[in-house]
Amino acid sequence: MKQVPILKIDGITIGQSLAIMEYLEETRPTPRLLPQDPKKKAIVRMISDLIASGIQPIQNLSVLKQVGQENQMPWAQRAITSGFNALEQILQSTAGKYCVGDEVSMADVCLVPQVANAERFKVDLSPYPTISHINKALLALEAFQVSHPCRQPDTPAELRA
Amino acid sequence: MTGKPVLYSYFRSSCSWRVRIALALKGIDYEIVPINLIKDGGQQFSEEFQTLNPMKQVPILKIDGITIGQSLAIMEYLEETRPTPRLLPQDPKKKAIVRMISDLIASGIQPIQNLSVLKQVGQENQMPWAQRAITSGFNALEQILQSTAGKYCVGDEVSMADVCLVPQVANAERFKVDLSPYPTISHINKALLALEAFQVSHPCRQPDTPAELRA
Repeated sequence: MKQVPILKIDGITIGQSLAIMEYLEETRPTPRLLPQDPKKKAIVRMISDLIASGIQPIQNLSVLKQVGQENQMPWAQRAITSGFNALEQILQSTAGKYCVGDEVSMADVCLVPQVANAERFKVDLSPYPTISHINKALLALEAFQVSHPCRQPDTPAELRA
Repeated sequence: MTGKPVLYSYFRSSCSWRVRIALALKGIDYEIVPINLIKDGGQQFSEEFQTLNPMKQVPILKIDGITIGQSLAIMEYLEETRPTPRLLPQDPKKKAIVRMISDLIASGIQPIQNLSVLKQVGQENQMPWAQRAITSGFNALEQILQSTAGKYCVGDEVSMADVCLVPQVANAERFKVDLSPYPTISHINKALLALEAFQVSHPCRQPDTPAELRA
């Protein structure tokens, strides 16, 4: 697919971030990224898919290249706003401390990077208080910090934390 | 109230078709509420439907007292609660491959050629835009399938990957994508279309199929 991420693990090569995370969940089950209850699990997956299929692919670099330089910002903003309008509404009934109840899940893992994309494309986040609140709580956790774009081996010097 | 699951579906929506296939494969009886994505400016934008699904998209499945959007999330729930026949292999590595292929289609191809995106690129650009999205994805998929496929996408058992494949090939045909570079995709698609679940769920046999497209 000529895309990242790809994970080479246990002798196989997996693309597609959600497929990778589901494999990690099955083979390294603790701590859990998916609730045990099938109904809560479905909600976590729905939110993850909303972000990973409903928002990100539409503002992905390869798509942005096709809409022309001057259209990129409004295009990306539209994709994110449209998705966040729906997500904010959904989270109002599912969220506790995090996206679904009070345990960090795959939905939270998808949320934070998408909020970072929103900020990069200068999306006004004030219509999304639930998204913003959860994002802030998650960014305080170590896993979300060590993995942050500003702390990677390939982070350019001027963006490094 | 019959207690049967209720699927909000559009006959031609490839995402809706995925769920219809999965329900048929698992022998789950359900009701359809057709949502016309074009008529009346798009019935998915009605206030009533928005309350049901803030994403304003089909499919939505009401089942076991919950409402689930996103076709893959729906299918994973069906797999967990109605586990036979299986849509996912038991082996975690094969399962990962099935999910990867499903995601390639459901995140990598379909959203980019979705109606809501096509509306934004302008009438005269829609066909080339959709063709490009599908071609790009199918180039990758054909290559992957060459190492994973048996009778079907992954080995010889029908899986979620196959459920995603057939509706995407139908989209390819609708957008006049030349399928000759994709012999593995075409071959698997043909084998799947021979199965009953893929036939009863077909867009040409739905309650909301227009008369001129009906089988």
